[in-house]
Amino acid sequence: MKIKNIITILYISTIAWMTFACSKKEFLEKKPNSGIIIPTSLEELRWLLDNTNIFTFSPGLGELSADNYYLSSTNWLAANLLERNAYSWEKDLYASIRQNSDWSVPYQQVLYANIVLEQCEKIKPLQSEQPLLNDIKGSALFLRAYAFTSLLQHFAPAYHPQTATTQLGIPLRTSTDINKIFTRSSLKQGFDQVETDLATAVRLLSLQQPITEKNRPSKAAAYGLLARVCLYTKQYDRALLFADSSLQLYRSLIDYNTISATAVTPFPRSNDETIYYCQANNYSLLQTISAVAWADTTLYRSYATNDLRRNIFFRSISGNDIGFKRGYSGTVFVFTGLATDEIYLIRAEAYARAGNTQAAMTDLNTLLAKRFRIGTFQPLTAINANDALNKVLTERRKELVWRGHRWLDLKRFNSEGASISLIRVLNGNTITLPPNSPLYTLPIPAEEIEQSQIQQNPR
Amino acid sequence: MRKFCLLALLCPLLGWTQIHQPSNRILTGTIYQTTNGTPIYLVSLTLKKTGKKTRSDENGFFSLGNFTGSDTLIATHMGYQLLQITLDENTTFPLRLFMEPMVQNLEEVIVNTGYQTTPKERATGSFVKIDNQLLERRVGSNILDRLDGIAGSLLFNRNRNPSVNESPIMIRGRSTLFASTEPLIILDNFPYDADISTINPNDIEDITILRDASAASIWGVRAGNGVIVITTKKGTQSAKPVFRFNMNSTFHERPNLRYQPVTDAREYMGLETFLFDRGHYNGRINTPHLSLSPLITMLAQRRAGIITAADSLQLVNNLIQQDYRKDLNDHFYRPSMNQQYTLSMDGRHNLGQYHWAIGYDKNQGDLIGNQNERFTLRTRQHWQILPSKLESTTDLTLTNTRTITYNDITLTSYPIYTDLVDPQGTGLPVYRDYRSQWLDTIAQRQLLDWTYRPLDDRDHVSNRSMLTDLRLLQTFNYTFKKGWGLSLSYQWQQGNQHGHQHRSRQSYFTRDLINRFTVPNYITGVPTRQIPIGGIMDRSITQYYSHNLRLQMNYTTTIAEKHSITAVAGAEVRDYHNSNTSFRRYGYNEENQTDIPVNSVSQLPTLPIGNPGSIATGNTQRKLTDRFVSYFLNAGYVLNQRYLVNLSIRKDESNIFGVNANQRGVPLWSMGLGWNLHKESFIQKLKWVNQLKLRTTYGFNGNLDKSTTAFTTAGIGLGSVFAQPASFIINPPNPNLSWERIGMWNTAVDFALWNQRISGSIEYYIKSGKDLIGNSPVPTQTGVAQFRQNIANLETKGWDLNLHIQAMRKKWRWDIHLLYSHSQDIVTKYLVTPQQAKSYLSSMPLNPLQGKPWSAVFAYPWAGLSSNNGDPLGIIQGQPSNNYSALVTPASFADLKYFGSGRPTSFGSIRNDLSWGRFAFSFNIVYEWGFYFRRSSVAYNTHYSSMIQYGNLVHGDYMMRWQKPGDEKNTQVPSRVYPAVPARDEFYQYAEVLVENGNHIRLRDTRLSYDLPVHKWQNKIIKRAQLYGYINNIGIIWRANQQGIDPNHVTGNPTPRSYALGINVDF
Repeated sequence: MKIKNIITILYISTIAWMTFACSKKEFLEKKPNSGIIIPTSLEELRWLLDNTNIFTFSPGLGELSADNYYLSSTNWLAANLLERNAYSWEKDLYASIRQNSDWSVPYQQVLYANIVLEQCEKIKPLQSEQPLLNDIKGSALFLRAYAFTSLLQHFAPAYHPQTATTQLGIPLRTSTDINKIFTRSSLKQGFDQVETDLATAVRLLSLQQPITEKNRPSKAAAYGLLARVCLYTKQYDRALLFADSSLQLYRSLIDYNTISATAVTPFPRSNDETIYYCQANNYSLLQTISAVAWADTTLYRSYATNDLRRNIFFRSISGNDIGFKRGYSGTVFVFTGLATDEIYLIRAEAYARAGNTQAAMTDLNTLLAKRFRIGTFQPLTAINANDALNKVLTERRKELVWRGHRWLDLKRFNSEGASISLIRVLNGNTITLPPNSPLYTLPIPAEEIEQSQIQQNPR
Repeated sequence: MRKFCLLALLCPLLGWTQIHQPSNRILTGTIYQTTNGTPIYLVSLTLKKTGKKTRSDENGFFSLGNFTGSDTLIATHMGYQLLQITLDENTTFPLRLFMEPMVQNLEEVIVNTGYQTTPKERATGSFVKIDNQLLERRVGSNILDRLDGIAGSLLFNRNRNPSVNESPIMIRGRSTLFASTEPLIILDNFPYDADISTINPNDIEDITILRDASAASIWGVRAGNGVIVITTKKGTQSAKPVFRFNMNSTFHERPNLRYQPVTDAREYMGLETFLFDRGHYNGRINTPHLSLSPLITMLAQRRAGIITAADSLQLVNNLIQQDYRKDLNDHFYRPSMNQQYTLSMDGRHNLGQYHWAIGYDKNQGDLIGNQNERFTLRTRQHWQILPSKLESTTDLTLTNTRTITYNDITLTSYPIYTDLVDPQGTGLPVYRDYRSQWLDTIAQRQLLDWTYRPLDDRDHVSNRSMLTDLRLLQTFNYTFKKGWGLSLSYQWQQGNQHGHQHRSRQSYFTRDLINRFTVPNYITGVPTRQIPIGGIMDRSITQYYSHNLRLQMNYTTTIAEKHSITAVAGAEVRDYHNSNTSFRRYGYNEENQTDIPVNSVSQLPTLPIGNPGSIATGNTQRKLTDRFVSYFLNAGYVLNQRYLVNLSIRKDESNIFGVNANQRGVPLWSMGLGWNLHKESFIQKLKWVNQLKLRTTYGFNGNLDKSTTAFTTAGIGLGSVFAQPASFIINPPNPNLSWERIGMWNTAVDFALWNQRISGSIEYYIKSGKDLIGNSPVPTQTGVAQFRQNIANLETKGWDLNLHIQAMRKKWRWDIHLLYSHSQDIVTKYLVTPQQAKSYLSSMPLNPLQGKPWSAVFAYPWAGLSSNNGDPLGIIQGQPSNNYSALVTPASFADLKYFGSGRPTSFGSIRNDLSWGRFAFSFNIVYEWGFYFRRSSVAYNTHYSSMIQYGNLVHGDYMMRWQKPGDEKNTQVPSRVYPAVPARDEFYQYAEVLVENGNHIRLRDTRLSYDLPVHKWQNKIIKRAQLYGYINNIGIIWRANQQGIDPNHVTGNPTPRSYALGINVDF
């Protein structure tokens, strides 16, 4: 009896055990949360790249330090510490602030892009999936290059072909390994990486030109970014080629006569000129609703009466105080992405620098014709290439106002000997930022320096 | 089966109809306990001469048949003093006898681990048992609240830091950094899957708290923070049904809205004027739609010459009278009332026992309109299917909770002088979002009324939620011969929670949203509304269900009266699902339940400034699954009732995401040894020792941080502005992660001395968390802010003392219960040292410092205020300094002052229970010791930036700020500067002058009860009745800080005092 009982127990237990063990593996495979994925499929990788809370942001401290706007002494005091310091080019820019989104956000984009790139290497695609895989890989490369470019432009000195191999760039993170710390590579290596990535992206991207979803990179965008990079690195001949390639693929310009000058939001987020959508990080002075960041008066007066941009780019705050209006971002944030007007201006500048006055002026007039009231536009002419260059640069300043370009252009022009000094008047004191000042290079936030021991920029 | 059911229903009725027939010369009587007059069951009654014997029934009734002549009746019962009564012809029957309880008797305590019940004498682990009487001492609708102040080593954490996942209850300190810190809660042998507040405390028989490794290895990976085992009532042995009724009402005082110091209207306006004069508001004033506070509006109009000086003076004089906390107190808050009713019925029939209980609770919130109701129905049926072989227990509980909340109303963050309600009781508008002048100019006729009236809004918003939870527990026990047994338990729990938040067309939320998505047309005057006019209904539906199945083999045997073995082994599967759906309906018509669709895809222009925005759908859908497969073995061996050895092993595997299959599980074990010294002859010689036991356990628990994974994980749904699906990274790839392990050693002495006059236990433990997952600070270039790795060891050492003194035990009884717990944790290893000493100041556990408690409180050394300008001064190289950038980034920890732990390291209670006859009085004094907290004060930068919006409260310390040389002798509050210097505020915020000692003693509660003399009433219906009164949160007796701060309520308002009255009746 006793033996029988034990046998019965063992028998039941064994049966139960077997049933258990067989289905256990499957049972424990169940995902704990339906909202969580391990991004592995192509579709899931695309979702990561489409996150516009991560991508489509770039630094804003450059525009805050530039001379498109000015603050009264009272309004300067009322501004928050970082924006106040950026305005007056403080040596100790961040004071006690230890992190800054201008540094962290692009590196977050780099992590996302690297995760996607590493996963792409692991995928064995079907024949039919190959184009999609290429496109995702190309997109990730483009987005990483975009982040690296904005970091190099803000956190490294102006680019000199002669000194670029010795001057410090940024850490070029190409791995997702968190335990691996990258030191700052040279400025040249930085831009070489960007150019290589973009050259690959051009090959891989499947879109020829932008679609309504302007956060998706296209071949036109990759060429456009290459043109922007080559312009900044003073490779004007290559800038010409890339700008031309981009315009071959996409060259739509908006006729400003069709744009309402009274509308609060003249341009929608997906407007025709935008090639790739990007905006500056959120700083309250940069927001176009700010009532205290007033447009530089000389700059504002330089727009002709019939220049439609006068009323589309600017608004009156009160009395003579002029503020900015929403630009191509369609929001209160500064648009810093790629648009056809910039590419036209790059090509025009490159033509002028190459001595091709005629072509330079043609590009400039093509653009300006869309900016003046119908029937009032007189095409500009230039007496020589230098004159053409000056005219192109004047128009570049006026067209790309409040787009994050001015600070970077100042770095470039001054390093070529332009000798442009910036002046701020605060409480009766005049602060001057001399050309080629080390203050043109933003310091790296304290937390990064402490954790990775990379070299800080001298200020 | 049907027969059984019928029988179960009939049995109690049959019992009820039996009536005892008294007869003059038939010896009958009833026997009661002297202390509280309750009848005593199973008293042996013997007539000395005739030798006739009987036993009393559950009502204390007995009968010894015909009686003649004289005799002596002897009554004996375990735990009671012998009673002898002489009977003769004159004795009248029925007799009423009273027996005196014997206090020196050892009460056998049974502890329930959820897998088995063990006499405490045979256990080696560390258990705290809270019996029913102690549980019912407190009044309240939440079962866990009743443990406050009566359970050793259980700390109620009232100052939780939300960013560091602190559990509201902590058993023996913290043992992890990032994994869950919540103790595991077991209800009747299985983890409870619903909210703990759905349990009716009157259904609970007792609670056992498992504190050490032996207990936790029984429960596996979820038990690293200790286990609370709750056992429900089982029913009685009474053949007649016993009805029990409990009713009580609790009255709560209004919350004290003036507890936090706030700057008054006069000083607030002074600060606003100061900022206005410096142009602080210029940018805001020039943005026409943005709101301005009433005073700034006036100042701007005055500056523009719109109003006269007389007008502005008038306004100032009006505002200076106001304090909106008065309006809040009078029109929004109220003293609240809680009511609780429970009725239960217990009994026994031929084949088993039954228990039925219904309960109803109604709790009012302190905000007018807030309310919570709970209805519970519970039944437990126990059957002997095959007598002494197969038994079955079915337990069914139904809970229904309804909650109404008005969380939509913003009651804080206004300037102090805001007028919310006029003297007639009419709600007044607050222009907190848009300027009233702008509202007058914008296309008024095309928009809905855009003003916000907090008082009126309450009538237009209804937020209701209803939770229904059903739990079924079925257990079969089969007992084989020779001590073998098999038990199969299955628990099924299911719940639905429905949330309805209806914001009618009149509510501000709805009007505001409709207006924002309106495009006015200035030519036709007919606006385009992208959101239809009507209410907005947010609905959420949460459904969960769980299956728990356990097959367990039991073995108990005693060999040769010497070797006693108990063992259980088995396997368990758990499958829990939770799904949640929520959605929003626009243009909602409550009567017809209809709605109107909206375009939620496109980016649409919005007012006031045309920002593109999309209409939120509120649609979410999510499903959670929690699965476990576990195997376990617990075995105990006792030699000669003296030497105890226990062993337990368990392995859990779970559906953790993002790890390799072999990382899904972890084996855990524990061992225990015990020695019942009082059974040894050399101790038995010492007559004053009643009990003396040594015991020790050692073992490993695990802890699970399900959010940290080895592979990259991403969440779906955080959208793209281009209306594409998008996902965000939750965890970057992290392949080197492993499980956290918590080793725990516990050693204890249990004792009872001098005839039980003094009894208790002393325990000492060392808990060491190894490979704890911590944040390692990483450079920003990695793209993550922090990264989790197994980098920390945390060691907690502590004492638990539990002492029970029977100071008086005759007619007067006086019991003193002393609880003392000491727990000191130290981070023994932390692989990564942050570069910055200041990171230890703010984010406590995120960057623990080796050699200090996880909650260590550091501060900047303080050198007072500057006599020149009232600047706060720190110390740099021994010299007072106001170089704030340098002060807030000290070079090393030596530059910081260390205070101590931020959580109590010693705590406990002293409870005095006094009784005299039918009166019982009890009060509980609790104390918390050995910790520090940081109080708040002015932060000019924060105040200025919140004031530039509509306005906000300014800390009351502002009124005590430094204003002129000499003030530094009387105040420590820095002077006002413009513009604010964030580093200066930061230095002051973390300066030592704001660190306070948290030590305090408080009178937690008191209870007075009176047992009505029901046995004198000659009635058969009421067997016992008790009246009781209870006062909770009485107040602080002593505190170390001089600021009048309740260290348990550094932020927010203290829990108001409450008074309860109730009655318990058995019939």
